[in-house]
Amino acid sequence: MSLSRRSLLTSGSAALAAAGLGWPTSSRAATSIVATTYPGSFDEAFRAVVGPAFKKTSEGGVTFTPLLGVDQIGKIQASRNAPPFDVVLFDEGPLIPAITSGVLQKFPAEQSKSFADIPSAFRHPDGYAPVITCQLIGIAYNPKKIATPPTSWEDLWKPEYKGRVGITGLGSSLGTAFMVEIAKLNGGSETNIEPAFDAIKKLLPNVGAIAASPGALAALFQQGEIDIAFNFWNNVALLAAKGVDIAFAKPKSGAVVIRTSAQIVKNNQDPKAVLDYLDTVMSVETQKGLEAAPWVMMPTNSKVALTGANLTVAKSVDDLVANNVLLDWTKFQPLRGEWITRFSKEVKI
Amino acid sequence: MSPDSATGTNQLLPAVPLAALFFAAFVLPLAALVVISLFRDPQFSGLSLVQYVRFLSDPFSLKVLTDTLWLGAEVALATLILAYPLALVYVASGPFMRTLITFLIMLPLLTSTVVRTFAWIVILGRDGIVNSAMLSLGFWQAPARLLYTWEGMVLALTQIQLPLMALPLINSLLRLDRNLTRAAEGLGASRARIFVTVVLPLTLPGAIAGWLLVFAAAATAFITQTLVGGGRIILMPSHIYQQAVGVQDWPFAAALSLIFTLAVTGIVFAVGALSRRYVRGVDAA
Repeated sequence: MSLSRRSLLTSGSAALAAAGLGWPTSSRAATSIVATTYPGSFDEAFRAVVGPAFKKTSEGGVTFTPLLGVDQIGKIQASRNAPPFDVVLFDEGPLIPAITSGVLQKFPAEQSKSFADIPSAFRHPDGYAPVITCQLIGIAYNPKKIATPPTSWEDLWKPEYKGRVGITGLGSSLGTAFMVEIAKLNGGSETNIEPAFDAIKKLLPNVGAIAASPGALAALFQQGEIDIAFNFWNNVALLAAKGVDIAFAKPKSGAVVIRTSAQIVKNNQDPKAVLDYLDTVMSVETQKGLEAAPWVMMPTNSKVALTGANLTVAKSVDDLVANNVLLDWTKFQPLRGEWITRFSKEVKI
Repeated sequence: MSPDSATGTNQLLPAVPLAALFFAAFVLPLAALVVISLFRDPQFSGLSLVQYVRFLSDPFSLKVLTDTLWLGAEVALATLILAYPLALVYVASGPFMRTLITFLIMLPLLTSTVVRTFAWIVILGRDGIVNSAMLSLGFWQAPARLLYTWEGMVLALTQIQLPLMALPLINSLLRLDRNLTRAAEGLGASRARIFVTVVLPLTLPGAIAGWLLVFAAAATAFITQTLVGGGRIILMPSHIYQQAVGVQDWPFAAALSLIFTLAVTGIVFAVGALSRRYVRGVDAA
């Protein structure tokens, strides 16, 4: 049988249309749901661990799309009736406008297999999907240059670190959480950021670089541009495993915990597959895989024991929740826009 | 229908796909941008010109705009100064050297901007090539901060945008009538004088074309500006990104985008018009 040009064109354009425009294809039985991940190691970990685990338990599969939290809302809003994703990932801050914009659906907790193992700090107060991993913010430092590990946030202000401190702005969860924590430690609160701006201005002589993003901040250690900065535990552990001179210190006031949840999009392709997917991500087995090296992602299922490098920052998932700092993002998320602009204007070196 | 107009329509037909793509991927989004910029607040409640008023009454935003345009002008001037000698060498060379030079000019265009920019991070970093060389040769006592500075950013952009200047300049020099320089030589003019009075004025259109290309490319180079300039230097592209993605203030971000687009295209058109009016070079002849 020879292929005619016409048949080739028709099937080709149909395939193009299905792939490019997201039109439903005829193979409805084995739906492949689409879940977002964060670009970088997060995406690699999900492809390596969650993808294969989900394949085993479900008929369809999952396609991962790496995307930043804030980009997701716009893309769903642009096509609410046939959203491009079924499951989306949010840090605590961006989750709030996502809920307000009405693109998310609540979590059917009573039908979930893994929900019982999730501690209350990781369940959503208004019934949206629970937290699947969290990121700890502490002090990253270069152990070759800084002999005594820092013990508190105030250490960043020590005169000996003149020109060696790296910071990043309020555009990221990292910079925002740091500023709010500094405000709280200096007599401010989750809504009174003033003391943090005062403190950051006093920090400026020490600041060697203001990075555009958390990723860029981590890269500055590799370039030897900075020796000390606030950063995510996970970023530090991954860089250290690659041989970069970087170590993590938990401040005595506790690390700040950023809770990341996978949320269900309204009008998704297949609610059952979506729930199966979330159950897979929350399951003991999957979370063990994500917790292990090289991913070292913090689990949120209390039945998962911490191992290896993660044991150096917390004893268990319950200890993680009990002995670190959780912030109430609902209080300051509405103020962030103003803070971001103010940071650009006022924090200059 | 006359046969002439029929041929005309037929000739336009092949341009339809491109025109359609241009309309769908450029004109429509631009129109959407205009509409979004006219909303009063991020909740899209009501139309108003408040975003434009906000920009014009905000010294910070105005400074970001002028800084960005100034960056484009500076980089374009730096590439111009570096590209003239290069172009002169090219024109004076034989076929083999010409191929080699063209290849070397084109080479950076074959790698991604991200890669080229990262190379500059490695060069300018505290433990980078420049700092280690200067320290070990004893010229500097302590490592200098080169990365995340204005000068570092101008340097990196100059190298990255150089091909955009070198190519139109070479083209202009090639079209220059050799008899003119020979005549000047025969009349006893020095090489410097020939360059200033004959070569420079006649190749000015090429230089202006290159200047405009580099100006627009450098002012809008989001990746290089962010990676080499860092979070300290706020320019229009990162300002727009911050307002759109970080602050989620789409109307203001849209207004910023339009003002920036108008400012860059305005300068490009103004300089282009002035040069057509006052400059008579090889291209105008």
